Amino acid sequence: MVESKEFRLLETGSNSAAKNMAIDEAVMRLAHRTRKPAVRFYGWSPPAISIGYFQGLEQEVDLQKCGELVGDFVRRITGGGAVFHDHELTYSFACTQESKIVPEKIIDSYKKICNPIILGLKEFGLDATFVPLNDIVVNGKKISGNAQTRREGAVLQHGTILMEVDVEKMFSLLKVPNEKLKGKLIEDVKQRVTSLEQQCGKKVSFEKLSGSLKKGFEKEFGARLVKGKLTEEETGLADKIMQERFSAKEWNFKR
Amino acid sequence: MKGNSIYKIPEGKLVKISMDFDGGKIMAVKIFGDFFLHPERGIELIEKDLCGKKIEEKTLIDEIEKTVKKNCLELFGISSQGLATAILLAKEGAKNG
Repeated sequence: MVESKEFRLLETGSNSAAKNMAIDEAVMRLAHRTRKPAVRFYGWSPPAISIGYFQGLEQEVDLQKCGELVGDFVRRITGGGAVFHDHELTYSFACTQESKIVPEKIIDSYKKICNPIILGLKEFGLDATFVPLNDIVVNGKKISGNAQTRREGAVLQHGTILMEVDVEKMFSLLKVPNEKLKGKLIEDVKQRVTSLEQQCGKKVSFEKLSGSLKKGFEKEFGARLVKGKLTEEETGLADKIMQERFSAKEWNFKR
Repeated sequence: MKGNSIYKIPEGKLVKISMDFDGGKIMAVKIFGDFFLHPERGIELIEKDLCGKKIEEKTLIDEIEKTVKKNCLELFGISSQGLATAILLAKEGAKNG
């Protein structure tokens, strides 16, 4: 059955890493109950590091520095790399697979869900393009990383759009395989990563960016994004998942 | 013996291997990295199925492909060849270390 072309818009503000990941998972797991696809825009407070499902926490993150400088970290349920969430907007998109809102083929669905981000960035005059599997680039530099999972017949994709970037700070929190090459690595990443601030030549507010992305989702999916709130069931499940999974040492240190 | 490796899969993602092995066979292996695998729990199946297997390229590729096929896993940014190479490097590293 095709769901109506009305999507839920969830603007949940800034939350802890564990809560953010728990809300994303709860919205995905209850997608078959809420029926409507959900688009969520959110931030991270305090700033945090998230690592991919398959990464080793202690391999990737300098936990001492992380504790001193930001204080929050979490393992995602999605693959991909470590991300320092600071001056950025994070989005998530969740829908059931049976809704056929996104292509069944994973690689095609990444592109479909990244298109609204590309359209949103166009509002700022930026010519953004999708680079498989999971990146969006502007002028050859990465501005957005995305990650997808599929569970219980539902799709969840979340991703970041860098509003400002501080590569030095990011690397003070992440471990690198060879300390001697850290300086070169930082220079390499500076060449490969960009932000809205760098591309627009001025700071862009979270609200302005989320407004543009909302339009992007509406255009790409031919849908209307209607402001909504998490249901009681979603809030309850998110609290449970936050306690049992994302706040738990067993999960975050599992690899 | 313990072996570790870091291997950037050509056109793919970075894979890190941490492995215990004995007599040319894997005793335990952990596969880390910034790749994607659907469903994600499939990584534990690959790690489990590699235990007791000979550290030999063709054997490793065949075993990984068997697990992938049996469990309908989809790999992105990694491949059976890439994982096998990373495991062989972990063995080599231990020998040279």
